[in-house]
Amino acid sequence: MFKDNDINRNVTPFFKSTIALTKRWYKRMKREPADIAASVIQPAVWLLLFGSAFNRVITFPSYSYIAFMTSGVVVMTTFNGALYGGVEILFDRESKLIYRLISSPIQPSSIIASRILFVLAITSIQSLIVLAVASAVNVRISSGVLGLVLILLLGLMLGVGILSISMALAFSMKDHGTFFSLLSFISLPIIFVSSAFAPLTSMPVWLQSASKLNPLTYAIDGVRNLILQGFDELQILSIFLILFLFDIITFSIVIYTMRREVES
Amino acid sequence: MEGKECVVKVLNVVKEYDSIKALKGLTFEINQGEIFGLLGPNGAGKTTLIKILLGLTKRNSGEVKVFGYDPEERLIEVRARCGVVLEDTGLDTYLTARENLEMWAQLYGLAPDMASKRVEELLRWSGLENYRDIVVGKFSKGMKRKLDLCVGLLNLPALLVLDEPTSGLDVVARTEVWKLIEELKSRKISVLLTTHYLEEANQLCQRVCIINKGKVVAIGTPADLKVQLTGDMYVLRVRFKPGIRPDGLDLPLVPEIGELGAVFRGKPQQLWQIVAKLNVLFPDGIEEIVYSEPTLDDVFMVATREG
Repeated sequence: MFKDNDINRNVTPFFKSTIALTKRWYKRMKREPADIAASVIQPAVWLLLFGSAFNRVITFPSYSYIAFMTSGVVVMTTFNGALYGGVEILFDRESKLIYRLISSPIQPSSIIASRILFVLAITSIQSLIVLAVASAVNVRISSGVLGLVLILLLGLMLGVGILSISMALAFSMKDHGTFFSLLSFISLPIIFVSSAFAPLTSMPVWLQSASKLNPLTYAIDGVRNLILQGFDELQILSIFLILFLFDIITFSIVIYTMRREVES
Repeated sequence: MEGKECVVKVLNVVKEYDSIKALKGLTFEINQGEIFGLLGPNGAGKTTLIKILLGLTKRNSGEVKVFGYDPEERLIEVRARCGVVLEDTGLDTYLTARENLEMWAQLYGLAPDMASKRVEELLRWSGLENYRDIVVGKFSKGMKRKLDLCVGLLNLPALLVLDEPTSGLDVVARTEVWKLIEELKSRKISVLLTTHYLEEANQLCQRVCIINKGKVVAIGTPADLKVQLTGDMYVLRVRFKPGIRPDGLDLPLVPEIGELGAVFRGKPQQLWQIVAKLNVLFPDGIEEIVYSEPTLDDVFMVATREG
């Protein structure tokens, strides 16, 4: 039999609880093999199907449409994964598991951190698969290995912000039906009001202005330049700064919504 | 309970939500090793009180000490010493029983070797050892509840909070969960148990606190409460033949009428007068008459009616 002295009576370290919860997401995913297959294959299929369909319709002087679209698909993959990544929090709220988690001696922010860690690990793997498929059809990252690392970092920066929005909605919505309706309503406009499928210069002026308020545009432009043109220090730095501000704001919102939910 | 250490102290606690008073000066104590029942109708303030004890919500006034700590100031110290089993299951239905327990062991900061020993010990204790690698989604409600109790006990809590632990369970599963809770008496674990089932409180709790509309209306052992609140009251349960209802009759006591018949609570003389009168009014209309001492249900009805 164990004695009281054997038991931790302090706060469980943030790192430990985050890892424990991340393992939970991983084990859940392993039990849904169809979801894993779909999440891995879908972005690559998107790239090949859309890229091939528009390769001859939209042309650029020095690169193919597939090369142009690779950045869009990489960022869109992160965007979609992160946007729907908060739903598990909503399911935990619906099952009331989240309240039990909050009643344990963990820092509640580790719930958020575990979700960020898990979802962004998945979207990073997806991005790598998209880039591998793109490389098979002769799309090369002109900024090299450093470019690849920066592409993944840009994905992470965008992912943190979008996932924070998703989790903030998950902490605020009454049920997952409303959550999915809202996300399907906003996701397509956000993608189309960005430079995912076409360069900003080909858009009407009002759409160009709107797209400049869209964090997706910055992430796509950053990834696109790293793939097509090479490493532009100033541009990358400014994009990282914008995404960092976006992350700070959205992360503050999710922390606020979680606290409000806990104290309600 | 004299001489026993007080693990929970609640003194004049008031909690308001948007100008609605959920708790209106609640006061009670829970002693070490005691199973303490908190009873009350829906909206009485039971869940609000649990939230305050676990530091999930702040009180407006009053004093709360759990193991001598104020949950608002020493949140982690309180939570690390408490086990919690809430009304809704706190399990991940995609994980196996073992995986659920392992996750919670990590969340409570148990060292890996100790965690695995404790997980096996609890699986054996609950009789779930043969189901350890089954996904919890395939468990019956009773099995989930037992696993929930295991989660609540993982960190060797000094106080176990059980919020409606047998709600929605069938009689067999409920009895099995009761056996597990009864076993806790020998482990010196204090238990705060909220329940709608008075039979449950009667069977498990050493003391019971009945709250209604945010106030304590009665507190004591089940036997004491029966004496305190019902005095020389007895109970008459009358089951009528189909189609007969004793509404609007001129009787010495107003009955509580339900689907199964009518319940009269009063002094023996009054009840015998009623029996005599009913026999005259419905000579062939009565199926069964049961005369008994008051149960905890009767105490609860009297207490909440007066509260």
